[in-house]
Amino acid sequence: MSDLRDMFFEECDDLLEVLSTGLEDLQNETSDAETINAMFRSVHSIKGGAGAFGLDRLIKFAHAFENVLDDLRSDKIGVDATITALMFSGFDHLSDLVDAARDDNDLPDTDGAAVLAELKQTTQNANGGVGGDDDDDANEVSSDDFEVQAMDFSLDLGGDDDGGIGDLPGLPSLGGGDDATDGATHFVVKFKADPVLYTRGHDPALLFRALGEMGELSIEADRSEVAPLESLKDAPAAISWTLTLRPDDGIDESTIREIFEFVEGQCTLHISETVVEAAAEEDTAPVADAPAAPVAEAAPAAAAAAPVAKAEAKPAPAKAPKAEKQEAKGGDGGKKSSEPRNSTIRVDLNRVDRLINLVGELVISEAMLRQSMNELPVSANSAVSEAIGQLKTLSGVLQESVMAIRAQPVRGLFQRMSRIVRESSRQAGKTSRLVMVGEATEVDKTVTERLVEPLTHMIRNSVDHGLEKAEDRVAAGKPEMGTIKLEAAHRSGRVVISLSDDGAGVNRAKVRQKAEEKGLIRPEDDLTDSDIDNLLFRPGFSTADEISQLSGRGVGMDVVRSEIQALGGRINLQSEPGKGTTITISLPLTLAVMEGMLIEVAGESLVVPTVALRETLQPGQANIHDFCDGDRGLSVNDSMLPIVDLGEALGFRAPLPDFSNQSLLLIEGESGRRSALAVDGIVEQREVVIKGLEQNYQSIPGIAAATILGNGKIALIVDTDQMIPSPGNGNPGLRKGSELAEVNL
Amino acid sequence: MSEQATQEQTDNRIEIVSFTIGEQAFCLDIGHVLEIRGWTNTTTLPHAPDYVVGMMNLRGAVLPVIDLSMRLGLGKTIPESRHVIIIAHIDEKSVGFLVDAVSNIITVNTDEIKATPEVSSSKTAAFIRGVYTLEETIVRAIDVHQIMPQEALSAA
Repeated sequence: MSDLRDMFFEECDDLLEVLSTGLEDLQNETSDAETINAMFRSVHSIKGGAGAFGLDRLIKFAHAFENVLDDLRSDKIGVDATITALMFSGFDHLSDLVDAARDDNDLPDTDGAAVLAELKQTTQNANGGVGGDDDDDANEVSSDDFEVQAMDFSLDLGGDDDGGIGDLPGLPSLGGGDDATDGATHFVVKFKADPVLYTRGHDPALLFRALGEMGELSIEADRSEVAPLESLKDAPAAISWTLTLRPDDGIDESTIREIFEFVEGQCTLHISETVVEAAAEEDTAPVADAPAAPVAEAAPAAAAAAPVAKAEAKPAPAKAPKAEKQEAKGGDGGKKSSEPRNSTIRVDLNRVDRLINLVGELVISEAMLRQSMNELPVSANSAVSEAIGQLKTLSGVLQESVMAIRAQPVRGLFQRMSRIVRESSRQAGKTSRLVMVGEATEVDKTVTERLVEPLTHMIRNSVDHGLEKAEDRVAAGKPEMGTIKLEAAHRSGRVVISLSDDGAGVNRAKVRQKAEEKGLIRPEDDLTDSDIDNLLFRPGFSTADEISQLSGRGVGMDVVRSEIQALGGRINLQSEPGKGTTITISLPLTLAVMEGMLIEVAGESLVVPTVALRETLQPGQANIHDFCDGDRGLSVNDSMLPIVDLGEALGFRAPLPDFSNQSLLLIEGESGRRSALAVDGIVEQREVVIKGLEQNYQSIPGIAAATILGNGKIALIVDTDQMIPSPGNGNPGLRKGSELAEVNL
Repeated sequence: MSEQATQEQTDNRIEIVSFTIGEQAFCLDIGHVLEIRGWTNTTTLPHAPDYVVGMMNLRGAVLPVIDLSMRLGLGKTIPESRHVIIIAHIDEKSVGFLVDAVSNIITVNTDEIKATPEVSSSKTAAFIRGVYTLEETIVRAIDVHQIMPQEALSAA
């Protein structure tokens, strides 16, 4: 049962996503009839599932929500700003209810009561007071919904009692027959279910009912293959049917096929089209060995049907996975058969992670094998080395493919954020909208999950501090409604997510003043604009004069930054006074592999992430300048960079007297600050598999993670950001922190 | 009655892995021990406590090696190939203990544990839960939770 429950909630997430997409379309006026249908189906499916689990509040609310959607789609009410706003509130509350049900929490009764009332009111107004709320109705429909079947039953609150299946969105003019079709095309559908159809819980009767909605239908069952009762034991499904449909306008073969789409591969299906004289349509052919007379009667039809039927024979097997996918999704109606559909399966994340770990170890073993091969005498068999070369390629591809499994579009994450924008705007008394760009960008699932908190905080900040009050905006000649833009893109092997607002920008004078008050900087410090902007990421920094409900809860941007750093990401803030602020987060595509430069320091092998690396150089002594306390600086292109002796910073050895035999790595941190790392030697650039240190040990200052080299030895990965001293950035990685920061000469 | 007594006795019986550091014998509950390996080279960790030898690679997993001798205040071990690393799983973390040699696996009755003699130094007392007397030898039972690197525990 709990499995089913879990599956239901997973489905709810998908359905809420559909709903949310629909809402965005409504808001942006890019919606069409199918948008509302899709939204309706989502809410309806949630209600259906909730019914199966007895989640009464969810049922009740979904029911009211669904009614409004139903009125929308039948054009009883039109889409306007009020309705859209109501829908958004409804969506938020629906998500809350789903979350609460998932965690077995009870929301306070008052939550959502207003929305519920408003939804009900809307329905009532639209229907002239008739067909309002009716809980029995809701329950009845939800039980219907849990028969596993292909079609979504529509809930027709107008009291229209036509059995429910009528509502196939996309199908025009259902219901009443049209006599004008006499003598026109008829469809003869021969259907025989495979046993698997029944074991999967389908019911042919429901399919036939759906077919019946499309026109005048006559059904004939052929029981000739059914074994006599006494020998009827575990017998395979033996009944076959012949259905003759006199279709309504607009019904063609493909619409008929849609009905059977969900049982494809589980039945034998022939659909043939035939023109039948009005007189001949009385009866249709049962299958071959039925009594002779009807066969003769229906002969023309059968003959006409034959060639078509042949061509149509058994289209199913190849498409079987598609059908199964639909099943896995439960009864969620799939009327979008015209759109290409991706086959998906749900897999426990632990299994994927296990696979990823195993592949990671495979890659390491492969590297170890290759290394030992290289140490063999040259006479070693070339066939072996060739095979090893192939193994290397294959394991590389394998690793990439496995990583791709975890990749997910950021859409879900962004949609959660759109709610944060709505809520925080409401609380701050501002109006704002969220524009999303590049939602299809795929990121590792762990990354998206761990981005929720920091992004939420950033958005609250943007709404609270970034956007001006409405009157100020108007005064500044901006539209009253603020715009927050969330954008995702892949850029040179990383994912870049940026959040921008069109607010007032960072008030640098105020930031500077605050930072001085708090002793974060000295009044005489010469800071660039970007330095000041990035002061916002310092711990304990908050410019809001009074603590508002939204931000200023003691969690600052520093927490955001450390969360991003924990993901191997960088965060940067750019601001233009009067125009707005953009915060850019750059993240690795995956948390498991990265490019690094293998270096040696004091006999230890270390890895410097390539993303931070700008340049490597062998300095002439002339470019190195001594400062007091043994600090040294390197002059490069008109600027003076602090030199950090990596061996000393990590406590591996005493400070070196001079750096003449050292190689210098120019690294750049997320804030754009640079420093030069002095190392003993540079070995090579390579891809390394990241192994966390926290799992079995603890985090180490100056070290981001570890990796395993080809010879099985462990190399530590340097946390470059901690190796860059600056006034705006503490240097916890440095035992004896260099006081020197980059200066422009 | 006698049956019940036997039952109780078996309930309290545990297996311990005994090992030596210098002249002294110590032991761990076998439930914590994953495997025992010969010494392999480790990677030095910056800013690590003196009893953390470094990180070792156990079939792709990265775990710290603790010099038990140093941790117990018995002096630093200069690791050689004759030394042994006991891989243990404690508090959801895997860790290697560097010891001189593993001697035996013994079944003991937990009732037989005696309090650590009061003459022990405070360091010993903190890391030893008690002692078993086995054939005139004193085997010191390590308190596994205390012996882990402390920052690691607070960070967890």
